[in-house]
Amino acid sequence: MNQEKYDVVFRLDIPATFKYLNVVSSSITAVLEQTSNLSERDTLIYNIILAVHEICTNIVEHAYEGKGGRINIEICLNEQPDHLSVNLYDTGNKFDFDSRDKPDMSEALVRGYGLFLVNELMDEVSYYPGPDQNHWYLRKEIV
Amino acid sequence: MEIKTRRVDNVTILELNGRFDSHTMPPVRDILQKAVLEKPASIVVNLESVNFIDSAALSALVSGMKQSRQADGDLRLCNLQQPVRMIFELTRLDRVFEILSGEDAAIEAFNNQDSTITDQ
Repeated sequence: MNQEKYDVVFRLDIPATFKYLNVVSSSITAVLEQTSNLSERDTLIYNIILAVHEICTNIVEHAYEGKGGRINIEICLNEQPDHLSVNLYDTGNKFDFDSRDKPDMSEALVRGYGLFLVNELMDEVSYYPGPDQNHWYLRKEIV
Repeated sequence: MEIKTRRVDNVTILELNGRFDSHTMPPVRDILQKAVLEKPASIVVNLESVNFIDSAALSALVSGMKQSRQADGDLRLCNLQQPVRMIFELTRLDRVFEILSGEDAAIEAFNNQDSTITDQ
């Protein structure tokens, strides 16, 4: 994963509060607007922004329990092959990625849409809890 | 996010503008919690100018819809932008909410429902 050579890398270091998550959205839009041959560009950008936003929300709410902290984000665009990957790092509580419940979408749920949307909207979602920091890796083909 | 509320024909209209997400959701949730106490609990959320919606916003709408239905009312949506509509489809919430193409149609649906009840 980290051996890949990226054409464009944006790095953000933001406070872990909901207030600043629109900055992440703007940065993803700026990176993807550099690509020229995206099909269904607006939908693709929207979907990636939403997936990354949901991970940030998860970090704010669960990793840091709303008490602050930082989120480090790398937005990486590689045109050979065409894909966007996003790495998100936090130093908060570890998330039990494997025991997460798959929501029952046959009924209207009041909670539980966040990670469902991330998994539906991205091609790869990985989580690596670590002793010093936790790492989310999201990848989306953008052909 | 800008929030406008008004009452038309006993229907509470919420008109939202901008990002509807975890940061901007709490005041909308508060307005919905008051609106479900109205008699009837008829609510239309106009999403015409909402260009981004996240899971926290979906949760607030589902909660408002469930509470309004418990009070024999409903929460209906109108004027969804295409990317927002796709999120409702992905989560299958398009099958749960009544989603209309315009605000007038959403209000009229309540009025028709009221007259049906009166006729009975």
